[in-house]
Amino acid sequence: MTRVYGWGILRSMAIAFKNFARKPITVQYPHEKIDLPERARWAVAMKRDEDGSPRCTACMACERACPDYVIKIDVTTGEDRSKFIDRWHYEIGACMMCGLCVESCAFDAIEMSHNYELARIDAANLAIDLLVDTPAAAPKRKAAAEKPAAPAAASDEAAPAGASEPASGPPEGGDDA
Amino acid sequence: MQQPDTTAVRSALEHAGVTVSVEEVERLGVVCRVEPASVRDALIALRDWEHSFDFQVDLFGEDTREAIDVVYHLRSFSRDEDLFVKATHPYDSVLTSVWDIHPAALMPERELCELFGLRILGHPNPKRLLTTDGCPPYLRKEVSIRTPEEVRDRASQVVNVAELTGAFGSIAAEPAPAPAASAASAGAEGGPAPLGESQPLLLPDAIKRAPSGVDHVSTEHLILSMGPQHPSTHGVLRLKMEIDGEEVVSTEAVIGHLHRGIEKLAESRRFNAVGTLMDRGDYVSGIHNELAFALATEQLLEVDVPRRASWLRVLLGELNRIASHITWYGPVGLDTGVMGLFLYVFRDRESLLDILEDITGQRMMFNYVRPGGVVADITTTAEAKIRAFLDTFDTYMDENEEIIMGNEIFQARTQGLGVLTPEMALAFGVTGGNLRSTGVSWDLRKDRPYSCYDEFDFQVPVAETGDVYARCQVRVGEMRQSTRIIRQCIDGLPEGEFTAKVPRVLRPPAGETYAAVESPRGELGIHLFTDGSDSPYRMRYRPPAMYALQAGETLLAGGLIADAVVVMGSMDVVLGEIDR
Amino acid sequence: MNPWLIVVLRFLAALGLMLVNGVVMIYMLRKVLARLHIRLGPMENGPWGMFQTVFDVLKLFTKEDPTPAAVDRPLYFLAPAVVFVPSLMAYIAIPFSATWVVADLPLGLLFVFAVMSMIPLGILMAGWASNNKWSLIGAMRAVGAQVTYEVPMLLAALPVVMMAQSLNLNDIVRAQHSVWFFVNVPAFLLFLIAGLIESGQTPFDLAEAESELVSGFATEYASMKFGLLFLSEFSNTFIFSALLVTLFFGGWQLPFVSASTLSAIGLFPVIVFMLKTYFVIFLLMAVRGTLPRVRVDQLLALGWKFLLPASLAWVMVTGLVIKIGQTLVGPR
Repeated sequence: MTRVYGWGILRSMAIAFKNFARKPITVQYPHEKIDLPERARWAVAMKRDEDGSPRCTACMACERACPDYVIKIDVTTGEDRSKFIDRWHYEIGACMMCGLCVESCAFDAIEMSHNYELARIDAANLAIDLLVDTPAAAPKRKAAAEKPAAPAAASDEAAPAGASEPASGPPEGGDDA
Repeated sequence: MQQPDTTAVRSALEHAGVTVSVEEVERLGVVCRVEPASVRDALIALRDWEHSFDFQVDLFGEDTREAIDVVYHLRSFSRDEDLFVKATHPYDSVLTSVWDIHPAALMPERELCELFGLRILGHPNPKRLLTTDGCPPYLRKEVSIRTPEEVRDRASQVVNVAELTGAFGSIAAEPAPAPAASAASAGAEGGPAPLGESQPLLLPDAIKRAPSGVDHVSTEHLILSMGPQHPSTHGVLRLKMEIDGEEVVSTEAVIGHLHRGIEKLAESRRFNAVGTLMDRGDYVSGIHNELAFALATEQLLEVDVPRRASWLRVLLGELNRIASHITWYGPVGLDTGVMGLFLYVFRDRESLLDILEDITGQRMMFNYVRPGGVVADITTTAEAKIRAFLDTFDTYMDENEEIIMGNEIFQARTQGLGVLTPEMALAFGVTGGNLRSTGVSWDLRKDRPYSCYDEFDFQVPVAETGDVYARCQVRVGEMRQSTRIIRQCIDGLPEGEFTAKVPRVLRPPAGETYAAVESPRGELGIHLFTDGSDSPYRMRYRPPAMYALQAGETLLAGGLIADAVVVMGSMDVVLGEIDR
Repeated sequence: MNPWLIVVLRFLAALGLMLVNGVVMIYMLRKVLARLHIRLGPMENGPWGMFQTVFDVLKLFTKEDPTPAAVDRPLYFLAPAVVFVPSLMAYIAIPFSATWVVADLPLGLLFVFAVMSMIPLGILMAGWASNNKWSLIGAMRAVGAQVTYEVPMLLAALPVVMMAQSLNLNDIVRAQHSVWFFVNVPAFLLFLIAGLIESGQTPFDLAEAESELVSGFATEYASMKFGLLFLSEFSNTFIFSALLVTLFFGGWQLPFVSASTLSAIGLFPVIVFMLKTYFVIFLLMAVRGTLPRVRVDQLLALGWKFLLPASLAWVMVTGLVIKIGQTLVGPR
């Protein structure tokens, strides 16, 4: 063998010992936890106003935006065209935390929380209801929160469809077929 | 890049006796339509022509609802031109293999046949590639994907493979005579043939045998499965090896364990949601995947991406390139026994993933690059983290080089091993670092700049020897060049918008286009067909690692088992993009 | 005291030392490797993870011990014993102090080498009986390497024997009262390389190359049989380090302190010996976590083409030097 074994090996050992002297970078979870950056996307959570009421207007934009059909909102529409959310069902176990639902929400009603400790012992607990038996909020645009609430229900019905997809036509069921 | 001259192409093909119609399709390039029976003559004519379209970029199919269009994407490096040859095959017909003209066609043809329901003739290994027998040819339009109700019924998702009763089984046409060239597998004398399956492939000018054994003593060859569960195969790759003592006689790569049907799923998603699928192809370099798709869509939409958005794409792309090369670098150490290197480089990868999480929100599945631009602007905390990372990374890289590249034992293990010649690399469709390690200088960032890469000052490392050590040198050099690009990005990020104004639901006009990026593994290309609706009509994902894997299969023959691990590691394959 | 009782007690002491060594060394390995790799290692079980190995041993005892159906049963069950017992026997000759030695054999060094050379037989039994191609490859590699390096290791120790003029390990230690035999650096290096291979340490741990052969010859073993194989590997490392210290670093002696004052302080020489041995083990573990693995054909080439001729040549050179020294200075 024409190669002289020696110097390279010794330098490798020197680097190893240099690292021996460095402080370990281990974070001892669960005793220590790292702070997540602001934009970190984990489980979807419902945002609430100061008085605790949810802002979801049941416009179904998030349900349509979700690529994996993880969100399912059961809505009953009353005679005065007000909506009542029976169940806002969210399958945490199937969610890939892409954030498309939050992007599509025009009312700032949901957010990607920082809750990443989602493991459950029973698989049935991997699908939860974020809202049960709650009346849907009256649709005020999130950008126009300072404007007075829109008076008539009829014009508010058109607003959700227009707010989420400005360039498309009526709410399509294209990818549900 | 220039477009080939259509009249010259037509006359060259007609000179070879092929009836052809040549046209230039906007946003795509020059397309030649030939009859299925004359595909082989056309490819030979194009290869031997003075314009030498001898490099196959990709081979795939498209279901046009009337027939299957088989597309051969060819390239001439000498003239920097691309050409598409299309042949229309009726449903359930027979595809004649072109593997002896372009060995790069070996795996793509198998995939095409099994997913579109064609049968293959003349292939040395006519077995299904990604799916099991009984799985229907699902890329056909008549095979529909599930409805939302079926998807939501998640408890009933399990499929019993034994119960798949699709009539579509083997893809081999009968009879399947192997071309004469594969008779070179007569080198495997003395051993039992592998259990009734086709002979493994040995190209004539394959690999020099490592000195071993006493060949005239009658011994038995073992068929060993370096199986999907193994500490060293990078991803779920199964290498079926025929070994003679410690020496590998031949190898067959069995893939498909990670197949999820990304290309079919893309046909049912909106354009802004396809990025989530692309992230999961080559999962260690998600930005490049998303970028390829975004570029393809932008070419069809003909939208101008703001300069700031392009620079942000470059910034995150290069950060992701370093992270991806680290995911290759650590396991190279582990494969050879250097445990320490893995953890040292992953310390840097943690910093990178922290930066990426700060900007995009997730450590690996970013969903950040969309058609039109990017989702959000860079944060000030991310800028600070990037500068801190750059300050320490060069020192750490020097240390890592001393630990592994300068170590004589590692050099003895890797120099002169797994030599990839330029001819072999080009024949197998290899791109990226593997190609540059053989001496061919081809980098899409320099030769076909996209996303403002021509505004940056960086070099492309090229090595000469083509062995494992050269591939290591090339990728280590690329990591250092990436830090240069990142520094220029951070220092000179232009003002402006981070995205163009595109509607939330995109409907690109009907058409066809091809866009490619230089991912850490090679040329990652997206061939996109649209029909004016809100989801793609057909999306073909050209996986650079698949071509590297094909070349790797042939490189392993003649070496030792211990070398098999090192050589496969050096080709930098990620099964996520091979299987899709 | 009944002499038979003394024999039994000494044997139990050796066994106890081997087990305690195993426990301590496994923990030490995990911690040393962790610190080299800028991480922490076991931290949860006990302060600084001290009880981790105890729990691991308990885990091994309580694991299911499946015997695969196709194994060669007699060989399969005997192999861990054939690997473990020679390792235990080698403890008999190691001098922990002038009086603390289980059996002060006049041919101590030869005894240790003879006994350690039975281990490749056990490895081959394990690999063959497992009826698993990967195990067989691992066993073949191990046997090939260990048989290659038997002779160079013995030859590398021969200069030491010539300098000490005895094969008794205690005599070798006492012969180093003025200068350690480490000054014979080539002999030290040759013995180091040969011994690393014999005890299966990186950069030569190809019998068990984790990234290639999963667990090599031990793949099909579970529970305490695996524990025995694993323990004997650590035990071999200890034996090798102890031999290194005895032959080249003065055994239980300290420099500048005479042997008699040292022996008078009771257990002190034992502590010195153990500290030295564990320091060598620490260095070996540092090398284990850092250097790449040498390929099997390169290893065999190294043994036959380099180590064997070099150790032969060095025996001659050492003999010449000793003879010249004796002629010049006068017989000792």
